[in-house]
Amino acid sequence: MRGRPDLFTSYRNETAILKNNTHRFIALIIATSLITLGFIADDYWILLLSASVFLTIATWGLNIVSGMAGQISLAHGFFVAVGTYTAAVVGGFSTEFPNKIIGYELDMIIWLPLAGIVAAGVGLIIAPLAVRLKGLNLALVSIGIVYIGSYILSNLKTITGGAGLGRKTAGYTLLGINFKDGLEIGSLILTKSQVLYFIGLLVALLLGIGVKNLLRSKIGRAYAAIRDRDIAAEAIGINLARFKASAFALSSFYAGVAGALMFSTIGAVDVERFGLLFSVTFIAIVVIGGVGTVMGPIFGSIFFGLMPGIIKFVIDHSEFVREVIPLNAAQIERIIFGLFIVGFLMFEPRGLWGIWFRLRNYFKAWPFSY
Amino acid sequence: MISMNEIFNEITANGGATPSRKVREIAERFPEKIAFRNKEFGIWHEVTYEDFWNQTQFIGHALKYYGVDVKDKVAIHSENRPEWIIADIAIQAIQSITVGLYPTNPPSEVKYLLGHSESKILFAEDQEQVDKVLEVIEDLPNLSKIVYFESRGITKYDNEKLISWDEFIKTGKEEYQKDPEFVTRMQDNIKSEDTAMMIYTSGTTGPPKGSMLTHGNLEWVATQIPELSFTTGTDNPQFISYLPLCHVLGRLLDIIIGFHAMGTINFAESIDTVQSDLAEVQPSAFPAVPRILERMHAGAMVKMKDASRLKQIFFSVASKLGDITARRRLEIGEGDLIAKVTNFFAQILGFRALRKKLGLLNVDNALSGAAPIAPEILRFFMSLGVPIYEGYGMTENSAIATGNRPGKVKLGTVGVPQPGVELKLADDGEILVRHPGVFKGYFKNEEATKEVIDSDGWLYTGDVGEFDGEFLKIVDRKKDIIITKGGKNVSPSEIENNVKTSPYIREAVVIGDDRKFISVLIGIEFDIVANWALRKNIPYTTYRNLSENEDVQELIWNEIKKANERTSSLSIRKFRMITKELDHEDGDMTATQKVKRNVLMEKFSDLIEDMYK
Repeated sequence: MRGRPDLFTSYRNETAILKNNTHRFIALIIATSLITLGFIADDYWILLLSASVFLTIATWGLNIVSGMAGQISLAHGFFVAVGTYTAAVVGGFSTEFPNKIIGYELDMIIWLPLAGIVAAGVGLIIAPLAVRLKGLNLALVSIGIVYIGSYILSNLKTITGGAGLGRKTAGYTLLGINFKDGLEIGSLILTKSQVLYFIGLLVALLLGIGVKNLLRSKIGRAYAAIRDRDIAAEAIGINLARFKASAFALSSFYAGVAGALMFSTIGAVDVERFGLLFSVTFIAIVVIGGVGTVMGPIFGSIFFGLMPGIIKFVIDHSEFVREVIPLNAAQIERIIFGLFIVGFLMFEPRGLWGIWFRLRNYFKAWPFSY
Repeated sequence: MISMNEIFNEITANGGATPSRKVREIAERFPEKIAFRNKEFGIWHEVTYEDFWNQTQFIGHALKYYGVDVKDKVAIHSENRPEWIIADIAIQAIQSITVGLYPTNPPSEVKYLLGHSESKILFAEDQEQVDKVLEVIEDLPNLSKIVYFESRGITKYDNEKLISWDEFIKTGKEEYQKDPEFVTRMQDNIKSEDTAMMIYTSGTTGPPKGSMLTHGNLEWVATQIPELSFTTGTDNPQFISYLPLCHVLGRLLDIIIGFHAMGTINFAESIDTVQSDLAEVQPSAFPAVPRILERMHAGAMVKMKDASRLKQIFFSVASKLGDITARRRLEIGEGDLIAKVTNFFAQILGFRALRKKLGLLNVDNALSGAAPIAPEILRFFMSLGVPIYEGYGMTENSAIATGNRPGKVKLGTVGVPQPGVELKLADDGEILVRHPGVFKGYFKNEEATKEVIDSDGWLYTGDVGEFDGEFLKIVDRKKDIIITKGGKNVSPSEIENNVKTSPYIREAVVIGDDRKFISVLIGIEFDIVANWALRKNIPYTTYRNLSENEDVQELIWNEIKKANERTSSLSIRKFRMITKELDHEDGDMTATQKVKRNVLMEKFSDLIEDMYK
């Protein structure tokens, strides 16, 4: 109600995504600044921003299965790989040399959703494991999946190009328009990276609403029940097999879509990228960002996505850092990232989102402390 | 939609209407306007004036169907909820008379009230209230039907007198088809001298007396609305209904002022959630009794003690600024520039947030009434920037007598006479009031009526007062005034309120009539003392155990000493702890939470004698 933001006359407006004008205003600011960034940032930062966006999508996926439904999965990177290669096969070129690699050169409008769907299908196949196992056992088995997965991928040379060689990713045709060399809309000229960035934003917007809806709907509540106590959840009539399977499928869908886009900014991908470390990265982002929320993965991904840029910026601009620290940018990045994971787990297990949350509550409770 | 100014102009031009006619008028003019909002499971369900009026008519028909005739009494025994008001308006509309019962009334009182009023039908909220009446139903020959609002637990009861609200409405609907004009016809024939409602005054001595208020009384009150000290001026005002509707103040606010201001009445989910519901509704007007304001004050103070150091510093600065605001506004007036500046900064530092939490952010007129309040509590709310005014009235004069009003405030007084009120002091200081809102008399008690209304129409209020300039100051109830052995006249309630300013003290009963010195019985505010004990690492088990704890006794004694320093009246020399929580059902208090002095004197006579040994 107007002037009384906490008075709800129906469940619909109590569970609305943008409950009041403050929310709407914040959403508008974020949207405008993201779009503006797409126009003003140079290609290097666009690449980093795009990476953040794609990471966000993938991490939302992990957050569905681990954060919301409580099923620990270390195999998220594998599903990302499934998405990447589905897209590459459906949308990429076929080559004969050095190896025979297949590709059907279809439109993005086909390969993007298909990448998600195929990954979701693979997720469904693996889901029965989660129904039988839980906790640490599930985590261990999921590590197994990563190793099996990377073995299979290295040997499917017609699809992946094999280890050490790799292949080109999907092509850049959307609705029949090829934007490989950029795009001209009237007087507006967009580079390939910019187009990908905007596509990424659009997809992220749709999928983000998807996660939010999942959280506030029956399915999300079922996931939360399973996470908090699977036996109790079953006792109140939640079909564990069905919901665990759907959590894996949905999670993999997000991973697949993210995977399809993630490497298209670079243009090529190698099987060796999809090791255990790759999967662990997503766990780290969820931990740093905040478990079980929509905003958490965004925070974590931006942090992770932009950090290389920031470190590079510092190194480039500071004589001092270059002299004192005898490490290259990538090494510093790894160390800082590791320190952050340890730090967050110890001091703020709820992640960046938790810090934000605490800060917000501090002012929300004003002038009291609770 | 209509603005408040236009509404006031209409009332000034046409006069007020009896509530049922007003409801019908709004239903015809603004059918989509929201009459009620009722919170269930976190969601505020809305009822429009059109729905409200339709249901009222159905209930009117059903009442007639079950044999309720003109001047018959119909009782309502429930917490505040839309059905309460719908039933009330329906009863009044068909020229019957409403009798309200407090939800806390035990079976014995239910028996007395229903029996004495000769009620024909009872609206009972739920199983709890139904059980009470079933316990005594043998002694209530007049009672022919019991309509319950909530069926949980009752569906298996085997008593042909029971009927659910839904079924009752269904019957009414069928009857309505046969004669749709019935209720409006009855309404058109209402005469001003007819009794509209009977309000039983809980009486600290003797059985309750049924004060008969007429439609004319209500109409007069309504006519005064634009000039009353406690009406809100905001458009589309929001009211929150939590003061018991069977009490004159709750009724006055909701069904007379609420409807005449064409506002929305919001019903809190339950007593326990009033605080959070208040924060959601942010009402435009906030009528309160001292107990509520004391609790709000104490709650804020205790929570502040738990706040972080930084927040405490901010808050104490804001409090200092607030004190300046309150002082200057009292001395100079509402428009004082310095007060505006100090208030502005105090709001930024934390008072705005605090007011929002208390639900007082949009309040443009808060009222303290029904019992005397300590000036310190009022000053606290004033320093927050809440426009709060103490008023004075009683059931017998439709709650209209005096009030502080914007620009005319004096702490410690109950303000100046309301417009249209004649007020004078008798030779012994008793306050006499005369106006068209003075009640018709006590039901079936000619003698008592003659005692309070003289042949010239003056109402003897039973309160002793004195004038402080043009402001009226209440000394005490005439029969409560203490005369010590030394011959000094003391007002116990003044001392009690002074003591009760302490957040740790909930109840104080001053003793000293025909004694050498003044002493007091103290009941602690359990939650807050418990919180204090927790902080001090003092173990305790029960209320009694905590009361008797030596450290707590010391704490209370220090609070009393502080109170002694504040007052010019006689100081308290001794005190004892009341070892149980006072309660309506045990007979320690009236339904309106006023301490029954004589009952306590008797119950705790050993404690009292111990002090004077």
